[in-house]
Amino acid sequence: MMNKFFSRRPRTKGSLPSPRYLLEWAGFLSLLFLIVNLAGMREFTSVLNGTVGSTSLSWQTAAFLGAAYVFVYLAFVLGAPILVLSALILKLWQRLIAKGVKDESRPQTQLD
Amino acid sequence: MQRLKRTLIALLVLIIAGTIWLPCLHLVFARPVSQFRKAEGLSPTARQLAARHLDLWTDPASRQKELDRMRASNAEWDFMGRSFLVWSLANMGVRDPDSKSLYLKTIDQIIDETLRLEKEKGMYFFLMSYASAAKYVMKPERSLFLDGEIALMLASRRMLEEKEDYKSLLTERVNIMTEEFKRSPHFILESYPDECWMFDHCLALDAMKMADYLDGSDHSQLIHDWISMAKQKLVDQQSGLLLASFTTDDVPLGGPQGSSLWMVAHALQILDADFARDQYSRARRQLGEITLGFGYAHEWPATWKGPANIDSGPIIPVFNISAGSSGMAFIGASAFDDEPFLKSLAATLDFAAFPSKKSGRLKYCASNQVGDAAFLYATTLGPLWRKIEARRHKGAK
Repeated sequence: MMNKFFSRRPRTKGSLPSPRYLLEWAGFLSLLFLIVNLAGMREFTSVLNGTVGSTSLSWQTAAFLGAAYVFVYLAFVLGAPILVLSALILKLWQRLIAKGVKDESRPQTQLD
Repeated sequence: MQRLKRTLIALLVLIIAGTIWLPCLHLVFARPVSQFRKAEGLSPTARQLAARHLDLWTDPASRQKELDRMRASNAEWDFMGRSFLVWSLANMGVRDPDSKSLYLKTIDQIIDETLRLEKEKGMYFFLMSYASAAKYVMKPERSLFLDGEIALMLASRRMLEEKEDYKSLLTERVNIMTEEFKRSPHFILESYPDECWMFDHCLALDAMKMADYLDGSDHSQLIHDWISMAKQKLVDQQSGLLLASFTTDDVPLGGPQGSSLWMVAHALQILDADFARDQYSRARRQLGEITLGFGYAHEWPATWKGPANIDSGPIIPVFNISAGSSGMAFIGASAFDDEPFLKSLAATLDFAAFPSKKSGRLKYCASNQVGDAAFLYATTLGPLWRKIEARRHKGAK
């Protein structure tokens, strides 16, 4: 299922992981967070204080929905920014490596 | 080999990114303290929380839905939600005189309905079910939890504006408690069968103090004697913190609990200001924490081991974060003007309590009506206590 969401092309050919792959995960977590919010699952987090999220649902269902929301929320708030920052760090790293390779392959001159 | 290298690099980069992000996370949720509490007037948070509570009391269907959810877990919360809301509205009436008539109307509605329910269904209606599983030691059976908080509701309403009908009700309730104290062999009254709470005693004494302010009665000796007894017999020796619960023979039941202690320290402010400050400082040192900019509180000091219960709420392992103690810590931090702690607690509230704002009405989804009413109290407390303090200073002069 994940393969349908994420890009199927080879992630990277070099020694570094692909920043794009990390950004795709950050996007996926953000989308998931949007969906659970639109579904109104935030209300069920009252399970955290021992109150049922809804009197029309069973305690177990309400608790599951509340716990699922908390999990997705934490993934969005903690995970997504870390993935975006990681992608930025990797991008910088790749540029530095590329610059190093370019400098090494440059022909030697009198001035060098 | 190439794959392993890539995985290790990815892990390293994720760790670096996490090390950058986690210390910055609180900045997303940090707000100025004035957003939560103001010295004068009402803060935006207070207004939004109050708007939602006032709505609940004008829309019986919404209120019933909220009460059903809470009563399914704990009937006490229904009662305490009423108490905290009345005490908040009484303080709000001083802070926001333009809306005083609306606050008074809601206060009277809550008090009248609470008294009616107590009369029709008996005291067990507002107590947890185990109250009827054993017999009260003192007869006739009464709960200081109900007597104290109802008396404090009546007194708070009268502090905002006198209401003749409530004068005799307050006097009657205070006289009952005074007589009970005199009859009690250990000067301790029950909330549940042979289960007595520091929280309930301090609020009952606050109600007596307010009755003295309003009606010129004098319970100062009783208050003084009770606090002297508590300092001697009801303090945990290792932490120096007041015990949360004990039997009628002053045997400790639950140790010092944050979910009780922060409010106790606030309640003590008008009874014994130095002792109140001492208890808050100890609680702040032994129960309060700020980690990466987020404030929270433990239920017990490091010297006491206890299990999670209905008061502590769920306890998050590793950090030992108690939802109940952290929620009540707002009242302590606000009452003692501890701005750094209050600011960090407010950041945690916005991060982990899932605020939901709709049409200027605020609620915290991870909380419930009683929790939100306690937050509202933390945003508004002060004016009623200051009136009593002002009288004391005037008397001293």
